Amino acid sequence: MLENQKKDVGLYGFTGCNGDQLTIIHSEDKLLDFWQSVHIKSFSLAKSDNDDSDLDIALVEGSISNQEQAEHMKEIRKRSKKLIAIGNCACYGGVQAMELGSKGWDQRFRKVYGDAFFELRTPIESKPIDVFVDVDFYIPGCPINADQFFYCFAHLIQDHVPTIPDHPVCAECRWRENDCLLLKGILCLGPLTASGCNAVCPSHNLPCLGCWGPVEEANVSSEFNLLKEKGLTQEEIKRRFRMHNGSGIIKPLKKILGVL
Amino acid sequence: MEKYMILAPQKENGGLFMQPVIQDNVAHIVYDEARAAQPLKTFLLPPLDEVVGKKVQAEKPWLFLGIKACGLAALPILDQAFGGDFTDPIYQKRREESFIVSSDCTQPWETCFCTLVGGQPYPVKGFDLNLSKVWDGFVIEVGSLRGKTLLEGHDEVLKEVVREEATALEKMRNETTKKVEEQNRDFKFEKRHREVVSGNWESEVWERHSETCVECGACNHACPTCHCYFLDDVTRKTFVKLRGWDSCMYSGYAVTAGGGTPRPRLYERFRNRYFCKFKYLDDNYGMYGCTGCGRCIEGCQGKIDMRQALKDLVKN
Repeated sequence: MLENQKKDVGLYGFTGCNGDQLTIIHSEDKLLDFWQSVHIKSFSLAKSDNDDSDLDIALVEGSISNQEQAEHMKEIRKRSKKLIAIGNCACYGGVQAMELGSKGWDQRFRKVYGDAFFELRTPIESKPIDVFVDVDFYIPGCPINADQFFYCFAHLIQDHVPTIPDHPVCAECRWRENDCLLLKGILCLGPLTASGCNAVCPSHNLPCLGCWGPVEEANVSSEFNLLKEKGLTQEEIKRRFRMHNGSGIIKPLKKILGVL
Repeated sequence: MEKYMILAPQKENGGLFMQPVIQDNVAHIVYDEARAAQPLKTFLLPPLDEVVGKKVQAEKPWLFLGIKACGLAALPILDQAFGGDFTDPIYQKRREESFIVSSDCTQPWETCFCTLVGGQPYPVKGFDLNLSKVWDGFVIEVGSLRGKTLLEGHDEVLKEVVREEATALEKMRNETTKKVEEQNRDFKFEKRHREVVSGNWESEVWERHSETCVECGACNHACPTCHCYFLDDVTRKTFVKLRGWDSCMYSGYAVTAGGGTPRPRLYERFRNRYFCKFKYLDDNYGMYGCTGCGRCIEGCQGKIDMRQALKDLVKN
């Protein structure tokens, strides 16, 4: 790519484990191409001379959990043409947003931190970034899959809209010819969860936890009833559903239970 | 026999699974009983396969043992889909090279319903050789030239079938057929499947029966005739094109450029599957896409029973 055609790209991390940025850094075989194909203006996990110039593409990971982050997020949106949410925390809120939508955040907060005074930041309930700004594209995952990320990235820097296959984890599980855990009576969230991880947990005989967020048009109520029939309590199922799905599961759960 | 890689049904956790035959497990091959869990397409059309950029390696052709009539009935559909106007060289090569030894079904699963869709629990065509277990030997039926060639020079283990054996075989076949008919007594109807399905586009049955579906796609993946696939370009060390089994139960299926889909609702996708099996495939290939193997019932999390759905449609 010609030097003047290269896009200006910035990577930002909010509340999260930085696992998505780390996944990019750990893709050693693609790192040189990654660095050469664009101008990386900001990537705080990988370099120190970061600037706040205008961007063509901003890649954001992590959820927003204080007032200052929310303002920073809005400021990034203002100077970027495209904003891409990467990772489960940015897309749906992640584990820290598992109670998103239920009442009593103040009480939960006080239970953990007591009457502590926060001098530097003003904490708010942790939420995915699309609550604060418009997001152009979502690349889910916990962490993101490097192959899928670079596939999307290659499209994005050429102004194409990438497409991520809209399959549940079950599809990838079949491709790997695994035994079905649900048929064995194990609480597996495969049918509800977006694929891309290559069905890594079920392939090791561990149930899917739903860390990639919900797949579009999933039949949540049927899965709920199915697990109930298998003898699991409503609370347990709800807890599992909410663990990683953050904002993605609120609507279907409300439909089933009435309240969260 | 060194020419082939032999796959045969073996018992595992109460089910039958196609597994490679090695020296140690020859004794455990289950010739009769019932169909194995995997359909033949698992091997002819693997779940995930590199179709472009595939490393050329000499792989031994397959010899399938213990394939049942419902498995053979699915092959004409796949043959027409991948060998009709547009040939798929990968499928074609595997199909032509593989050798099929079928056998009679003697203990059908609870979900088996071949007699409902015009089938029978014993093979009549589509095999190279058919083995029917009679007493402590096998009645061998030759179905192709290749089958005949394979038997040549083995006269020391072959002998003519005597009348008693033929009678015993017929009796056994009748008994199994009766058994399948008996367990599907409640689901039997006279009307043609095609009419039952196509006359019921607007029916509440679709919504009612798809309520418990979790959209896992097991019915499609386990089906011996379902052959929809998706292609994905992946850059590994070099460029590869992957072909994976798709499922018409997923909302991502049939999505067009721009994100439009002709079947946004679950019950529409559910209905489409029945229309595909009993109408569209009949229109295109002149046969139903259901062989009555019952794998879709067995694999369903939501306990959706195709037989019950069809029966409910008839009642409408």
